[in-house]
Amino acid sequence: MGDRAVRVRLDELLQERGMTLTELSHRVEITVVNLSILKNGHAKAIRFSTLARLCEALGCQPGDLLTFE
Amino acid sequence: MPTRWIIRLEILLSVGLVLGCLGALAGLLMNAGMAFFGTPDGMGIPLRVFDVPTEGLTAGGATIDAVSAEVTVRPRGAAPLQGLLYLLMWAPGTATWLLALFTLVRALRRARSGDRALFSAATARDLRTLGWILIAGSLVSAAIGMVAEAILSSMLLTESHPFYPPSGELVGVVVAGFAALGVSEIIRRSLALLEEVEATI
Repeated sequence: MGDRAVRVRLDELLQERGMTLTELSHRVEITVVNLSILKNGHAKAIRFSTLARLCEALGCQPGDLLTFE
Repeated sequence: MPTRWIIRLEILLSVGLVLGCLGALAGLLMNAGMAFFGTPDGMGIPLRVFDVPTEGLTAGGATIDAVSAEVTVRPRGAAPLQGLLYLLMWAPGTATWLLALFTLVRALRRARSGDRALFSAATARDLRTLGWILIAGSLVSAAIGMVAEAILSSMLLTESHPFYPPSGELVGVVVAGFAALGVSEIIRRSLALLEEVEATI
């Protein structure tokens, strides 16, 4: 598969919305530790329910959150 | 405490290991004595004999077939070659058992101090080692023992056979070895699954 991989654009979306990771953590009820794992690309998989909650809190589509590069 | 039974089992097996080592040491000393000073009374080399005469042993209406017996043969005086062959008969099997016991004790000790008790990569590794020790060790020791017994029988008995079948416990030990390999593989695959689940957010 080479070096290309799915990347979570959480950092950019948070910056665009002026939101902190702690604030997002409270909104989606996911620990900061797990959000950091997601943000830094260390997560192996993401549940649809987690993705839905993130999209709802950030007001975006799954495609805005995930990129393949 | 979930690890209490592990601690108890570890203590029990550790005592067994120490007693086994002492027994093996005593056997070695006896073997050395046999080789260099002669065999003392009450001790000797256990050998299997077949076709033992059994006339007059049965009650009326019954017959005896397939007779085999174990005799204890005591060589006169120092017997270095017999001592060495007797050592080859029992030492490889004993070493296999002691090594297997040691691996088990080590696995339990690691499990006691680990976060996931027996469900860990270290246990899977130890079980794989244990499996191979049981399989390879028992097969090799049985082969060496068979050859040594055949040579000893030809030296010490008037009737001997070129092939002495291994004892029935060999099959059990080999099966136990494969079972250990199987459990090791189950733990290894389960851990990989658990890792995936835990890494899912």
